This record gives sequence, structure tokens and C-alpha cells, in this order.
Amino acid sequence: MNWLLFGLAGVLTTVLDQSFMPVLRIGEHWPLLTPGVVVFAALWASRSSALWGAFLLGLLQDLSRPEVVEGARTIRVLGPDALGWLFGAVGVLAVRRVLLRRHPLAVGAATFWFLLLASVVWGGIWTIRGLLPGTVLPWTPGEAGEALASRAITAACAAAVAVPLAWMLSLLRPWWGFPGGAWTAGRRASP
Amino acid sequence: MWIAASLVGVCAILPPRWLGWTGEVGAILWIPLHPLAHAGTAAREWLRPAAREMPPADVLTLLEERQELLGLVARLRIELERAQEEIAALQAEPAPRAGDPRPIAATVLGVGSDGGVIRLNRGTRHGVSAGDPVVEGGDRLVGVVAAPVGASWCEVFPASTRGGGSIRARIVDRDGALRSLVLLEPRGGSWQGEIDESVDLTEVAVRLDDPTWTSTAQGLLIGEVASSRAAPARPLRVEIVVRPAAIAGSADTLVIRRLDPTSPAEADRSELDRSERNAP
Repeated sequence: MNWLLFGLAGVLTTVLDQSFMPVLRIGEHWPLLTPGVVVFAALWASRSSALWGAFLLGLLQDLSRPEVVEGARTIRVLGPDALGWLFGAVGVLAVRRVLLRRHPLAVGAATFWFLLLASVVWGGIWTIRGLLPGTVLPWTPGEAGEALASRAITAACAAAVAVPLAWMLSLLRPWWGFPGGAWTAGRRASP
Repeated sequence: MWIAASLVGVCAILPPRWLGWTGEVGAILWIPLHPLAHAGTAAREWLRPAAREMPPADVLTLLEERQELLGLVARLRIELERAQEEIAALQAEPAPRAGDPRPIAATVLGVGSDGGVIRLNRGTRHGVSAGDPVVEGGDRLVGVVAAPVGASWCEVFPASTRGGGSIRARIVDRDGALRSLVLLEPRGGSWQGEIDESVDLTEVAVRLDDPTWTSTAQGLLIGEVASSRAAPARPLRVEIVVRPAAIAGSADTLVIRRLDPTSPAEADRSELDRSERNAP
């Protein structure tokens, strides 16, 4: 996989997720682009590259998202997205053989699956962190279920934008450098 | 791969006091990304301005000035009441409080995807410091500047969302007359509190009256009473839900209400900061 291209796409979409994408805000939810990039890579890259890519971009999300601790100070909690996205990528790798990877809808479905799995890890880590003194949970106590439901809605929004995003990313296929000519071989095999 | 994941896993369960360094790392990482975020925000603002009906600019200015003045009246009344309490306590000369706030307009650079912390493009270089209240529309309280504050950025902790803890507020009628004090607890994006059932809730607003906030924050509009009902298991008390006047992250430009550096209250705060820093 072309790491320079992946890095550029990941950083650009991370910035857009926070600054521009709220233009599509519906209520308190708006779609995210970065999960689409991770899933697109996870569908085509080698297993190792897919996992590293998800982990590093998850780490970037963690470092980009200030969390409040008691006393109204902000810190970055490393892990909820880094490990969540890693777990999500493992889930996508497990199902990618049964997906029609070239179909943009497959990227959308895989993005939804990816973010659902990531939310499980996110919720687990924050539940553990809730036992630590001074931690401010990202949900009102007793409403963790609502927080997960909210993330599921965000996952659905992200899946929706992942479809056109995957199409745009696929236009750059000669530069992605996915292994074994998987992409081009698939293209030739298709009618 | 798995070694790196294990290290991050350990970091994920470290207590907050051991993660102070991550704020600095995140800030450094975002230095080259701020211009891009600024462009993204500008594009968003151009495509979809703040989602509310916008009157003409001159009317908007007058409305904001009116709201500011209403906030000022409420703040002065709260301060007046405190001064009267001090007089009643035979304090000979109550010290003058709070100078006028110095507004600092700031552009929103980013909003946490869960409606959390807001990143602004103003920092210590512009006079911003931790604890400064942040408003929109003249006097609608959005949140408070959190520490650490960068040279040209700061992060705002929304008052109405998670983990802010309780906040003391004052119910005020439309003429600004002070009514009951209420302790509000954040509940899923709104506030909840209990008051005496004798308090008239017709056309009231809820404004900040909390001595743990700076003087420039006193009297700011927290929200309106959205609903009320008899408090379960507490006769003669009414449970109210307060809907926030400002939705965190919905505005593209916010105003930081900085204390005038020459005011006595700011001098007091600076002195307090110095003594805290020098404390063993």
C-alpha cells in the first residue's frame, strides 16, 4: 500500500471531519470520512497494512479529540479509537472475502460494521476508565446505551458518505499500490 | 503491531493525571493542520451558515446588544444582591467587583464529533486564559475555556454537556428581577434542578449565579425552563428541566468574555493564580 497516499487521505479527512463535515449535520450527528478511508484500505491492502493503517489513523483521532477531566482540563485519551479501529479492521478483514469489494455499497456496509465494532471497544475502554478517579465519561451516567445508539447513527451516516468516497478513492487506484494486482486482476475477471 | 497496540492499551487505562502530556502532543500535531481546519470551517460557514433564522445585520447587532445588556443587568443585580449581603454582614467597604468584560471574537476550528469540546482560534497571545466564559449571541453561555490554553488556540468545555458537574443558577423573570436560586445538574444535554413550588415559572430565564465562575460569567443566560413537574418523593418541591440557550458547536463564531486586565477582579485572580503556582 502507498503509505504516503494513505497518510494524506487520512490526515485530510480527519481535518475535514472536524471542520467541514458538520455542514451535513442532522441533529447532533454528522458523517465522518476517515472511517471510509480506513475501510477502503482494509478491503484491499495486505492484512498487516490494513491493521497498521487502522491503528495509526485511530491514534490520530484520539490525539485530535480533547477529552475533559475534572477541573475543566483537557487531555487526549489514547486508545478508544486506536484500539477500536484496530478491532474494527480485524472485523472487516474477517468478512472481506465474502464482500463484493469493488462494489461501492460494500464499502458502505463494511464501514457501518467497522464503526459498530469500534464502538464496542470505545464503550469498553470508557467503562473501565470510568472506574478511575477524575475521569469524566463521554456520556451522562446511566445513559451509556444512548451514547452507543448515538454512535450507531453516526456510523450509518459515515457508511452513507463512504459510498461516494470509495468511488473517488478508487479513481486513484494506480497509485494505491495494493498487493498482488488484486484490483486490476479483479477488474479483468469481471464481465 | 501488537506491541504498539499493547502500549496504547496501557495508556488507555492510565489515570487522567498521568495523561497531561497528551494534550501537548495533540496540540503540536495540530499546528500544521489548523490552516486546513480554518479553510474547512470557512467553507462550511459559506455553504451552511449557523442554522437559525438570521435577521438583517443591523437588527442582529441590536438584538445582540440588547441580549448583552440584559445579561449585564442580571449580572449587576446579582452583584448588587451580594453587595447588600456583605453590607448586612457589616463589612465596612465592600470591594468593587469585576471590571467590564473584554470580548474576544473567536472562530470555531473544530467540534468533537459527540458534541464535546470545541476548539477555537484564540489563545494566550490574544489574552485568553483558562476559566474564561464563552458566549454566543451576546449573553448565551456556551461553555468555559479549559486548560491548557495554547498561544493561538484554546479548547472550550461546553457547560451543558457531560461531566461539568453541578452549576448554581438564578431564575430571573423577563424584567430581570431575581427569583429563586437553583442547583442544576447536567442531564443528557440539558439541565435538571429542584426549586420550591411557590416560585412562579411564567416567562422566566435561567442565568448563571455561581461564584466558582469568573465575574464576567455571572448573569449569563443558561437557558429557559422547558418543563416542570412535582419532584418525586419531595413534597413542596418542583423538578425543572432547563433547555440550554446555546447548543455547543452550532455557531461558527463565539465570543470569549475576558476580564479586563486592569480590573481589580482580574488582579485578584492573577494574585490567586500566582499563589497557586507558588504553593508547594
